[in-house]
Formats: sequence, C-alpha cells, structure tokens
Amino acid sequence: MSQEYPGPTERRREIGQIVSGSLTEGLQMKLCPEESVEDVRAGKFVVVDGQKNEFFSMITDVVLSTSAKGLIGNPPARDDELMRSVLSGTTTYGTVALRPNLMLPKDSADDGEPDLRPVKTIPGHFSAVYSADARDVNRIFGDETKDSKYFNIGTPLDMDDIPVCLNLERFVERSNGIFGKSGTGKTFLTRIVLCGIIKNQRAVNLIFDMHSEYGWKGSYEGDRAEVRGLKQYFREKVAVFTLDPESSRRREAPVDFAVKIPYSQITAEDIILLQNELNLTSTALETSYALVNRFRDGGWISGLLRMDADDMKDFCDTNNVNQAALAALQRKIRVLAESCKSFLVDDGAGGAEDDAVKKIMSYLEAGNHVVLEFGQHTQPLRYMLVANILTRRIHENYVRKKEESLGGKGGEPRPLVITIEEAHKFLSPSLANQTIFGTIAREMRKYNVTLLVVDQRPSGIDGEILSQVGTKITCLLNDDKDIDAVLTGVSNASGLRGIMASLDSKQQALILGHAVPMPIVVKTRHYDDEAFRGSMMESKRSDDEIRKDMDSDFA
Amino acid sequence: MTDEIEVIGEVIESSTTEFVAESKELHSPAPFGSFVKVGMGEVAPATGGQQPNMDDPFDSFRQSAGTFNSTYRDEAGETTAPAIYAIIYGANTGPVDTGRKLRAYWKGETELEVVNPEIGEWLLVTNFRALVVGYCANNSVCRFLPPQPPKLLTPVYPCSPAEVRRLTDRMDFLRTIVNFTGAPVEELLAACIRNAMAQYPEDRRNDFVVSAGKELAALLRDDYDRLHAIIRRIAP
Ligand SMILES: Nc1ncnc2c1ncn2[C@@H]1O[C@H](COP(=O)(O)OP(=O)(O)OP(=O)(O)O)[C@@H](O)[C@H]1O
Ligand SMILES: [Mg+2]
Repeated sequence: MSQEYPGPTERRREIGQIVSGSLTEGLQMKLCPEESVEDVRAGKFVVVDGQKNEFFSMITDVVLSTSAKGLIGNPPARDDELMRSVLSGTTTYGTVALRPNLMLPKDSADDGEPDLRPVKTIPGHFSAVYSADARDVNRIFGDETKDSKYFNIGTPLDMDDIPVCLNLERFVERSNGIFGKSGTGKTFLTRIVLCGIIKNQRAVNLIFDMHSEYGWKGSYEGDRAEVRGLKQYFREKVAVFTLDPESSRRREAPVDFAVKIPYSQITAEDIILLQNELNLTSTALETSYALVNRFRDGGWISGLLRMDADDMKDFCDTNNVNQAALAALQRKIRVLAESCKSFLVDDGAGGAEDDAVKKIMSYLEAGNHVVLEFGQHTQPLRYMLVANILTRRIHENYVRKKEESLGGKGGEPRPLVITIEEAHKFLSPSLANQTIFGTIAREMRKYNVTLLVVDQRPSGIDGEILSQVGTKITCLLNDDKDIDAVLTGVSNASGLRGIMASLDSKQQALILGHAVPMPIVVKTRHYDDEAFRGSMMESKRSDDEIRKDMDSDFA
Repeated sequence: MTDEIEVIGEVIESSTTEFVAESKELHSPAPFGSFVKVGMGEVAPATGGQQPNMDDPFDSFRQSAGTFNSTYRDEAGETTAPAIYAIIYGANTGPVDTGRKLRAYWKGETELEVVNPEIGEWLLVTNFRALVVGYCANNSVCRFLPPQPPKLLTPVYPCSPAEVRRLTDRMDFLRTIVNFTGAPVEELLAACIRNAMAQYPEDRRNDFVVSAGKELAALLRDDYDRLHAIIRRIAP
C-alpha cells in the first residue's frame, strides 16, 4: 500500500481503515488489529488518506465492536489468554468515530499556503487512516518559525514536540473565550495567549486582574510557589496598575500607578450592573435616573450621599419618586462607597484629577499593556464596578479615535484586547444588554476593541454573545449546560461534546474557531519553564533596576 | 543441509482434492493433522550405482524413486523440490482383502506376532487419507490445488519443519479445511495447528497460534461456538 503512495504517508503510522461514514455523521474507522483500543484517545489528530484528498480529522469516539453474536453472552474466560488474543482485532475490534474537519486535494502544490478546504465529501471505503505527523500539524496550524503571526500554544495529543499554533492575526480580530472548570489552567492559558499577543505585537492588552495573577507574579499549585507574571517577561511594555497599593507592597509586586476613581464617573448603568450584588429593587434604575437628572454636573453619587431627610422629601415630591426607594438606594450606595473607599474618591478630593482612564489610555496608545490588579478587592461588586467604569470610558475613547481616523484625522487606534476573568458576571443574559462588555462583544471589532473572556461557567454567559466569540479555548468542562453553551454556534458539534468532557483535568484544551483552521485538542504549553522563558524573554534590564524604576514612579 | 526423509506411504487412490496412501507401517500411519507431501514432476535422480537391497521390499522402491531430498530452508531460501502438500485427515486399518471379514484370534498381541506373523505382514493393511492444501513448483509455494492430482503409486513423505513453516506462513490452508466435509473439521483444524506450531521455534509458537486463531476467527465469524471449541483444542 505504502509503495503505491510514496511521500507523506511513509512517515505516518497506519492505525485503521474507514469502513463507513457520512458527511453529516462523520466517519467510522475499524482499528488495525495491532493497535490497542487504549492507545486511541478522543481528540487525537489523524489523517484519512482518500483517493483524491487527504482529510484532516479528529477522533471523537471509540466503540468496542464485535462481529459475533454469541460472544457477548459467552465471553472467553479470564485466563483464556489465547482466546482473548485471537478475538482481539478480529471478532472483537475497536471502531473509532472520526470527525473530518478539513480536506486538502492531493494534487495541490506542496509549498506555500496549503489549499485547505472545508469538508464537502468523504473518503471512500477502506481508505487508510494515519496518525498525523509533524508535517501535517505544520501544514495546518502554521509554523511559528516561519511567520510571527503564528504562536505556539501547545502540542497535539501523543505528539510531544510538535507545536500547534494559534493564528494571532485572526485571534485578535474577534472576541475570544477561554473556558474550563476551576483549576483546569484557564489563567495559565490566558497568560500564555497574552504573552503571544504582547511578544508578537498584535494588539495592546488591558487586563482586569481580579486575583492579581497577571502582573508581577502568579501562584502555582505545584513544586514551586509562584510563576512570573507578564511584567517579568515584558518589562518595558507592561504597566501594572493597582486598586490596592497596600496589597501590592505586601506581595512585593512593584506597581506603576495606583488607580483612583471619582464618584462622578459612576453612571446609573454602573449601579444597575450591580443590582444583584447590591440587592437593588427594580425601581432603583428610575430613581438613579432621576438623581442623574437632578445633579446634572455628574455629581449624582456625592449629591445622593449628602442628602438629608428633608432633601430627600423635597426631591421625592418634585420628581415623583418613592421615598423609601430613595432611602434604600442611598443606604446601599453608602455601603458601596464605604467598602470601596480606598479607590473610590469623592469628587474634588485630591488625586482624582489624575485620571486613571487618561493614564491607561496613554499607556495603550504608546503600545504598552496594562494590568489592573485588584489586590484585596476581589469581591465581585468592586471588580465589576471598576471594570465597567474603566472599560466604558476607554471604549468611548476608542470610538472617538476610530471615528476621527475614519474622518481622516489621526491614525487608527491600536487594536485593544480587554481580558476579564469571571466574565459571566458581566455578560449574563440579564446584564449583557446593559453593560459595556455586552456592547463590545456584540459590535465585534468595529472600534478595534475586543474581549478575551475567561470563565468557568460559560452557561452563565448570554448565548448571543457566546455565539459571537471567535475562538474558544476550552479546558475540561463537565456540566452539560456549560458544554452546550461553549458549542453554541458550532456546526457538527456532537463529536466535540464528548471530547470536552474527556479532557485531562489540567493543561489540556480543545481549541476551536476563528484562529485555528480546525478544532484540535492540545496539551497546553508549559508556562514559565525554561523553554517558555527562552522564547519570551527579551528585556535585558535586571530585576533590581526595574524594581527601582517602578518604585520611584510609584512614589 | 540436506535431510533425508523416510518414506511413510504410497499413493493408492488419488483425486484433485485428496488422496489415499497405504502406510508403510501397519498401525502407524502418518499422524492425524500432520503435513505430508508427494513428489511431483521431476524427482531427484536415483542415488548412483547402489544395488537395491532385495531383502527390504521398500529399498528397491526407494532406489528407483530416488531419495526425496528436502533442501528447502526458509532462512536461507534454498530451493524446494516440487511436491504436492496435504494434511492427514483420517486413517484406518483393515483386512487387505476387503471381501473377507476379519475374525478375532483370541491371542495376546505378542503371541499373535510370533504365531501368526502373516496377519501383520500380509493380511492387514493401514491406509491414511490426506487433503491436498497446496503445492510447490519452481520453488514457489502455491496455497491452492495443483493442476494435476498426485500420481498413483508415488511415495508419500512427511513434510520437513522448514516446509511446514513455509506453507503455513500464510493461513490459506485453514480455509481449505474449514470448507472440507469429509472429516471432523474442528478436530482436524486443532490438530493441524498444533502440528504446525511444533515446527516453529519455541519463541515463535505463540505468535503462530494467535495468527492462526485470528484467521479462524475471520473464517468462522458467524460461529463463535465453533471457534471457541477449536481454540480450546489448541490451547495447551
Ligand atoms: N500551561 C500550564 N503550565 C504550567 N502549569 C499549569 C498550566 N496549566 C495549568 N497548570 C497547573 O494548573 C494549576 C491551575 O491552573 P489555573 O490557576 O490556571 O486554573 P484556573 O482554571 O484559572 O482556576 P480558577 O478557575 O480557580 O482560577 C496551576 O497552578 C498549575 O499548577
Ligand atoms: Mg484562574
């Protein structure tokens, strides 16, 4: 067989033959008798060698089959070694379900971009199936060493030295998602992806770092206590902002800027976003709007906080607002203001003019990346409030800049990727229409802003927004609702369902969507080991120098 | 290396698919399920110049027919003499004169040999029957029926281990047996696989049995019970 088709097939190993299949349901392969069923893993990347095309496929299911009717009722005895070995591969054999994802005509030229096409037909009976080799992976996923738009994200199952690359150019064209249960490696994956974007300068990043894992260092459940954050990799390019300078000092994590947010920047929508967290009633929105109307200069929060009983009564009478509702709102906002007092400052208080948004914008415009650490402020309430306020204003800036550039004034703003952890808090079906994040996700990259959502409960995210997500990188998920959510908008999803539930519990991910030509399961590249450092490090300044620099900035 | 192999019988009935041979030794036909061969076409010339030993009835025969040399060794790829290969599927012993019914003599075996030696020598005869499974011509082994049946009155020899190995390195003979109706097929398959296995070196026996078993599993795919029965008869 292999003599008839010299060339690529020689280096691949045959693992079976196609015995049936359909375009809609996928292919069935009979496993070669010499191959053990246990070596066949869901998610493995294989190539079907058809007569005119090669079909790049993924193993989605493995079935034990038998051709003898009597066998199941009368299996061979446990010690009947001979019978077992005789039956295996003949009467009992493995059937493997394949999902063909791409096809490549055999007569297409070998060099240059391969002419990959969507699958519109299937290979004939008894086409040989091979496990893919390095060349196949390179042809499909690109080669990092040849083009900087490709970025190594991991290796295919069972192929340890061959990188699977993400096409970063395409990646930043859309909003993207990284999903997986808690502890499966989302944060690590996100850091890896961010490193790729930073290193290859495909976009600028703004990272809402809820658990302070991205900036200077992150924690590691393993043989060491911590891993380097982005700042340690890209010293000149990454700025660390913090809401909690105290915490940063304690963690000995140098920071560039402490963020303060004046009350005046909080809008009624920001408060509504927190309706669950603050336990607001449905009238709170109307009440807030009335207040915004009353304090037209933007000082509605400080105005509300300063109201006494008489003011309130007056206000309620003139604006037809329920007084109890107003009092409740005041109480709740007072609690909010109190709990956020280290970064929420009253209007006119010192420092507020040194606007965090301006500072962030100036960093982003200069092509730097901003990590905003929350320190101790990990409560969803604070996280959401801050992320929403900053993002809204940054987005406004981007919209203005983009429109100016369309009008011929100034260049396009640099593409911006905003990373949010716990994304479902911003993008739940009830909030997705109100928050700025919903808007960004929906308008795609009209204004050069996209999201990188990181979440453990994708089912909590609005379906419409999920279907707009360009590239989905999914670690293990085992809740059916979550799996369904990730697969919304994916055609032929049935095979992928099982794969998602059978991923390793760490450091393995299914990648599908815009930035990869076909879905693939990878063992995620190891973050912050020697090899990773080698391919990332570029700063020549020493740790101490940087620390000194940053401390002086900070003081 | 040249093995001289003892003749074990002579063809007395022949057809395309099977033949009957008279066993050289009374009561000791070629074993059930063993591999035998019958010379075909040109045979090695008679061993030069020796006078036949007339006291031994078979000697003259051997001299005229020539010594059947098995010179094939699978490792070295030496030539194999042309021959038809067959598997013993049955044997019987009875009176030479089939018209005459044998009566009991009521004597012990040893006494009978002393008092009535003619019984063993002239009255009784052992025949064995063999199923043709292939042949060898021009040094290539064909695992299907030969163009002509074995010649009558030609000698029958056991196959050498090398020949058995060469014949059985593909399992086509199993299909011939499975489709045969004139014998207890399950017993025959098991005996035949056991016999062939014994011709392989120790470390290759298991592989051989497993691949024979797999071939059977494919042949008997609708009949798991039968497969099971055969495999039980092979497993030691
Ligand atoms: N690419 C990787 N390189 C090295 N270690 C990894 C990698 N991926 C996962 N790990 C290991 O898995 C652990 C958990 O990963 P991580 O903190 O990214 O999980 P997570 O999905 O973000 O969890 P949570 O939802 O709780 O935030 C890490 O501490 C590390 O030990
Ligand atoms: Mg995490």
